[in-house]
Amino acid sequence: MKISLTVNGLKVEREVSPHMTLLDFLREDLRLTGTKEGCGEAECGACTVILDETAVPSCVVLAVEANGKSVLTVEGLEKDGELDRLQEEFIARGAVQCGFCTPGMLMTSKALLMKNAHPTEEEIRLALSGNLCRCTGYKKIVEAVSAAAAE
Amino acid sequence: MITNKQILKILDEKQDTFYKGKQNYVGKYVGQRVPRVDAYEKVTGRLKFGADVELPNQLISRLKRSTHAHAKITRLDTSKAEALPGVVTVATGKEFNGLTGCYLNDSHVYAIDRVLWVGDIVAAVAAETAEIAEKAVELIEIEYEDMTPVFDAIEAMKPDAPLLHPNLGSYKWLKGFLFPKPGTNIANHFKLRKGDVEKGFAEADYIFEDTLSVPMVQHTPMESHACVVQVEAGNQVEMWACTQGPFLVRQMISDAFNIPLNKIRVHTTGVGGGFGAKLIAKNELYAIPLALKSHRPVKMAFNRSEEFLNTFVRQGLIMKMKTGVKKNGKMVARKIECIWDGGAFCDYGVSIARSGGYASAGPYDVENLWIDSYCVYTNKPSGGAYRGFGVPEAATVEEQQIDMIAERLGIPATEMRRINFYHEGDTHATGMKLHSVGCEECLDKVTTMLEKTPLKPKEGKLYGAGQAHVHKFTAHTVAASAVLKINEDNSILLYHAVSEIGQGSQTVMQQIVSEVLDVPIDQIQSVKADTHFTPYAWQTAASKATFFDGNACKYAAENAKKQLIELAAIRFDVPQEDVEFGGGKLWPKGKPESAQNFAQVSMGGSFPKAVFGHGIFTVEDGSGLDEQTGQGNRCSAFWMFGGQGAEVYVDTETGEVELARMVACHDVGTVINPTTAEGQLEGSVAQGLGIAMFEEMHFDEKGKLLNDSFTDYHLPTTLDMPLIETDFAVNSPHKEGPYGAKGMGEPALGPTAAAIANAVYNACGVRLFALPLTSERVWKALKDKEVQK
Repeated sequence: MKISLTVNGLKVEREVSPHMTLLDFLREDLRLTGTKEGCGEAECGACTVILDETAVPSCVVLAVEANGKSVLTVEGLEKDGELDRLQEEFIARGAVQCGFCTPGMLMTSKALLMKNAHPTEEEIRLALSGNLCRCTGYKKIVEAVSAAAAE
Repeated sequence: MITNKQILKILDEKQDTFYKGKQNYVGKYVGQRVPRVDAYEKVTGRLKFGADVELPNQLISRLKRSTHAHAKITRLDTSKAEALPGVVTVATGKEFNGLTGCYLNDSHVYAIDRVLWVGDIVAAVAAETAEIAEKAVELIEIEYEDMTPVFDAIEAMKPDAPLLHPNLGSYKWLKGFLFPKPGTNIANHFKLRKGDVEKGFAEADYIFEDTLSVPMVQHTPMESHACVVQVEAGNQVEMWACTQGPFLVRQMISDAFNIPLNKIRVHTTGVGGGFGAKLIAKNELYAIPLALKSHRPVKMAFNRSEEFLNTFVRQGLIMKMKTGVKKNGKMVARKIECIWDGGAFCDYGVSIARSGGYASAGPYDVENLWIDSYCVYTNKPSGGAYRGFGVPEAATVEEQQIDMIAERLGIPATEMRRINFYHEGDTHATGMKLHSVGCEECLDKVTTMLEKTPLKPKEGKLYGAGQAHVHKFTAHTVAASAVLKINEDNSILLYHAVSEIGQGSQTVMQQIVSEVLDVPIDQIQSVKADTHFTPYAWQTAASKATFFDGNACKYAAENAKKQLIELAAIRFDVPQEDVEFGGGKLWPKGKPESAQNFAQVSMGGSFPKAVFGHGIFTVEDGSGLDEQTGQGNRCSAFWMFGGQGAEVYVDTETGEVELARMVACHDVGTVINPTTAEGQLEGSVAQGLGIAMFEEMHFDEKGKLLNDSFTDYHLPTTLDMPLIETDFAVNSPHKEGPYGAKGMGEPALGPTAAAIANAVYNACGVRLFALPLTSERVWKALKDKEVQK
């Protein structure tokens, strides 16, 4: 099937098989490997991307479902050499360790801030509750999102 | 990019929280909150992890796994799979039957004639696409003849138990280090005998005996194992793998396939968490035959179920502990039996039985000790290293017993710990003299953090607090080496083989080099481990990187500095002692206007000489342990100490335990990077909380793992996390560590589960003799207690 969508602001048209996931489409067809596969069944959040302003686990979304829509991945956060505020805070506050959950954490957080510019700590924890991290204990991640939302 | 103004401003806000003690070193770079050097490539998604590597023309592989726990393979037919269009090759144990391992070569690549656990690999397929490979796996036909399995480690030790490895006696193992018992399922029996334990019990006022157990759990790094391998002309193997041990992976490939080390090149990719699971070769082994046969690159990436069953699990432990004490709480004798449920291959578990065994009596000076620690084969997934190498498991038992004894003696558990703690200069259970002992400072700080701001009672819930304290060994005689090159433009390349697995070692190594050379961190670029080019490092394991490899990097920088001073003396035509060194420059004394940078000194002018610093490090008086007594000169280069305190609320209606706060203080020697060090402690709280309260691998009666997915294996999320406070001991730097540093990754997890269990008991009087403390179990124990009343 032919799909047409916007990925990180660029128009993309591709032929895809009807059962290809959005995750495989991004990673294999577009070679955007910043989006990670952690479990393949929407339990860990590592593959989170923003589909028309909503954070979705791309491992259980079909590529064809993204037809006509806009996808934002971690590669699209940095603009003209300027990091997104979330990325800066993740670096500065030590919210990154192995980095494998980081893209998903950033995209979930970005979607949250797009809808709610000043979330409470509780709202941040709730939004990130579907994103697993085995390294950080989440503390510095929550602090980084709070800080990014502060201004 | 990472040193932009915004970030520096944020860092400024945190400048006050350095861990500076009387002797602890805080320098210009060491001890500072330097942003991680790898953070930029991680927040932008640019770092390539194992599965992100793609080679032209690569094949995708899939594995055929055993559905039986212990069975003979009576028929294995791969012809239909091979005939499927798009399948390039299939490999089985018929062709590839070498054994391999790290400490004990007991591991097959593919099952040879028997399968040893549900999930054992029988065959591997390489095909043009994942779909074809999956279809081909279904077409492989296997017939089994069941053999009696054994799932329980105690049963497996009995003389009439079915043997998993009847040829154990013919395997290759590290002689003098391990003591397997051929003809049994015992892959190692470690013994420690110190003093006269029976005399100690006779002198004791009270004797306590308890048996507790912890189940198998899995590391679940967020990134599953993945590698890509290609075999070039002349059978030269080149691999990209997300590994903690590129040199060990190389060794294991060499042993399994009889390929010399200089024909195997392992590149380390980004590693998405390891915790021990990525130490040895697993998927890397399964991939090699496919690449050898197909002459095409092969990708082998584990799915989540394979990550649970085909890498490592943390061994289960049943630990019996008999302790004799005086009325005041002074322990006079401890007799301990550890039985480790090692799974189908005990290759790595044997070492955990050894070290976890010798550390099982805790951070306490006990005159009379008797320890037996057994690593036992069972028809389950293979056990191996998991953050702490046996210490968190043993501490779960040992530290709960301390609380139980203290309660029965009517003294505070903190006091019982204090009067038994090791001190500087004491002789350890293994016979080594202890240096850099911070356990008392950790106890003081944990207690203060808990008491300073106690949590408020919650209506309808019972509140409790508890602590646990551990000591953790590291490696002894292992090699570490580093190389440092000054480039023509004055930038610096640093080569060492520590894998950056999230712990922050890359940043720590650069901080150490920056401190020596007095140059900014970003003037240095670390080179990822590559067995053809980076110098040798044993493994990224045992919390040894900062101490061992940190010293190697420090020596490499000092060696480069020495060469630069020699060259500058010639250039400036002054004696070496008149060369000044600072701010990344050199100049003749009194003439700062003549200063030259490193590149100018080395590569400038008419006699360019490339500067190439090298550093090697090991502990020269390290030793093994005697087979009969477990005594030796220095079985661990250093010991780390640490304690944690938990505060919980228990809902007596539902049995639900809410972990409200964890406080942690660890003695890691000098803290090289406060931010990453805190991150280690915070992360350990999440892992320890999961192990204490949710995690357990559940097997059915036929040995099939029932919860090999994140749907069924619950891990802590943001909503489970308590308040976390962390601190560090500052008065016990190590005289041989780089700037006094030791290590910290593993001990961070050591006391967590035990502290939580002690807090639960303190809250509601429930002491469970097995982990995890699920609501259901706590509720049931509360009901049983009511009935007893």
